[in-house]
Amino acid sequence: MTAADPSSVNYFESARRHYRDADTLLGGSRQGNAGQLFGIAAECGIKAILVASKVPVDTEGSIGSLPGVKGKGFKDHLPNLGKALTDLMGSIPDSRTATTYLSALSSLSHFSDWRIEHRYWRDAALPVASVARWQSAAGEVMAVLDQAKEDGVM
Amino acid sequence: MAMIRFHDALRQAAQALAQLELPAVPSVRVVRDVYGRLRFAVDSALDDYPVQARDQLQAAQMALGAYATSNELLFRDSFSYPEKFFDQQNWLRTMVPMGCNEDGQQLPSVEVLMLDRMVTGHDWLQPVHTEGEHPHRLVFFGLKGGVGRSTALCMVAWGLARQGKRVLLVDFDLESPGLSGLILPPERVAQFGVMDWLVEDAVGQGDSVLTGLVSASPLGESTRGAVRVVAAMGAQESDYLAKLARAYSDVPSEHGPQRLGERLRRMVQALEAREQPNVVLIDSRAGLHDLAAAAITGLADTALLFATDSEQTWQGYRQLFSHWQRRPDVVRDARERLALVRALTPKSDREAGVKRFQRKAYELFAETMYDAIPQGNAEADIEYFHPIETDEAAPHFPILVDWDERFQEFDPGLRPEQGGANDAQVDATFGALIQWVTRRIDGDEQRPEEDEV
Repeated sequence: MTAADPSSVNYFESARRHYRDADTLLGGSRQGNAGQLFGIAAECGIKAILVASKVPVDTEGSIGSLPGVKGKGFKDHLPNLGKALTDLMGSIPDSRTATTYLSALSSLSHFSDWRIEHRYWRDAALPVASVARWQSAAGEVMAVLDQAKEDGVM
Repeated sequence: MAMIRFHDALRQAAQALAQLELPAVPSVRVVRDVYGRLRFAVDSALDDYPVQARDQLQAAQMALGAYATSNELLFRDSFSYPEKFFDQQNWLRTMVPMGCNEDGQQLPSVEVLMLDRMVTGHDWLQPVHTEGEHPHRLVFFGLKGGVGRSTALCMVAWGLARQGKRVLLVDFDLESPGLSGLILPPERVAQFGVMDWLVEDAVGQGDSVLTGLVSASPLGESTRGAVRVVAAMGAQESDYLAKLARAYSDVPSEHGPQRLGERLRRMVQALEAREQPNVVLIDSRAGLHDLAAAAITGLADTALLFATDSEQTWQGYRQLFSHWQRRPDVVRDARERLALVRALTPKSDREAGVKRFQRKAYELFAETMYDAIPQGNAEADIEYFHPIETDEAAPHFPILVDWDERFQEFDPGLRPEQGGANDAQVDATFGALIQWVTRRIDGDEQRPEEDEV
């Protein structure tokens, strides 16, 4: 976002890039990878909210492991990331910001059949019927990012 | 460089917009965040906006120091759904006072289009005209307690009931609930109060408490009409503070979060539909609180502003009116529903005291709420709203309620033989207010329906 920013990770920008590219792929009837990117867009958007909520990042700007928390925590992928948000809400430093934006994400359950491993799957095995639901859930994440941008928290 | 403070920031930003060489269209807007920090916003794609103008804006934004939200200017590219941001209803034309020049001359205000993100107080700037017919709603407001607001409300209710009107009282003073104690014996207090409606509505079952919200006050029983009361707190309340701690939260809905003002309006509309009153009297919370904003700008056909001749009163009203004054659309909407009540008018040196009060009231309204008429060259086709000081129908012209010891710590439920007040005593103190309110309501009823747009 800023020229002087030394970190290479920017979850806000990458969320919007993946979302736009997913839309483009969907427009070209490439449901398989469109679906994959909607999920990744949503993950990045959630992480952007977590960073805005003061969850610690490493020198690259990536969310790291939480002190005292076993497992992947916020580094997990959807759909497990959704569960991590509920379980680990108490460990988010600025829980008020996190609650404000994360509580507006009412459709994360749409990703229950989304897997990061879909990128290795054969075409016929992909649940392309779910892509529309993933798209609307990712769209909801983008709207929340807009709100956070308007509010000046990112 | 001098440190920039909250009130400098907006002035400096507006000044920059007035002085920089920027394209006339699209005009640059200002977004103020919850901390008071600012960003400029342009309803254009980043690449379509001249680089030179962009650089100037960025420099002006960074010059705001701690009052720049970030170094980022907002363009359409900043959002996934830019139309939702740029086309929302919350943008308000805002007059920014520029202060004085080096010679002490007042500089003209600069107008900016602003999105003002506040933590509370949104309703002050969102005047609402409720659709459809409804009974006249009067809000009783005071900047501070102890000026006899609730007593006056009870006496007006009684006065209107004597005329045969069905009067509905609603207590919005949730942090100092007291109207019910004043007007209902303990055994008459209804099962639920406004507070119960707020917490139940938040989980989608506000309707279920409507039937248990209203009780009949004995005050109406000796009259041709009725006095119906919705208290803040229900009978046998045991968890009031736990409810109060949640009462003001926004509630999600299909159309986005519903704020307190919108929620209370729904409650009052539902009560009106059930009770069919001729008039609704709302006891507002004192002070510049969201509950008062919800009542005055969100509900009132008439807002009675109770005042005494104290510096605290004048300063408080000046702050409120100045807040409105900066939004021309809001001020036009708000001023005609206001009426000033001179409370606790001292009997000694009464005439001179009333004159002094009237003068101060006029000056306050003239400087903040009334249109400034340009000297010499007033345009004939523009209608200026600027009543003269002695105009009895003007918002600033005080309605007088006299000081009377009898009404201190007064129980309006007592009959005259029990130490209560008789008709003549009530009329002597509150007669002018009751008559004023009667004229206002009757005028409203007789007025032909305004053309629907």
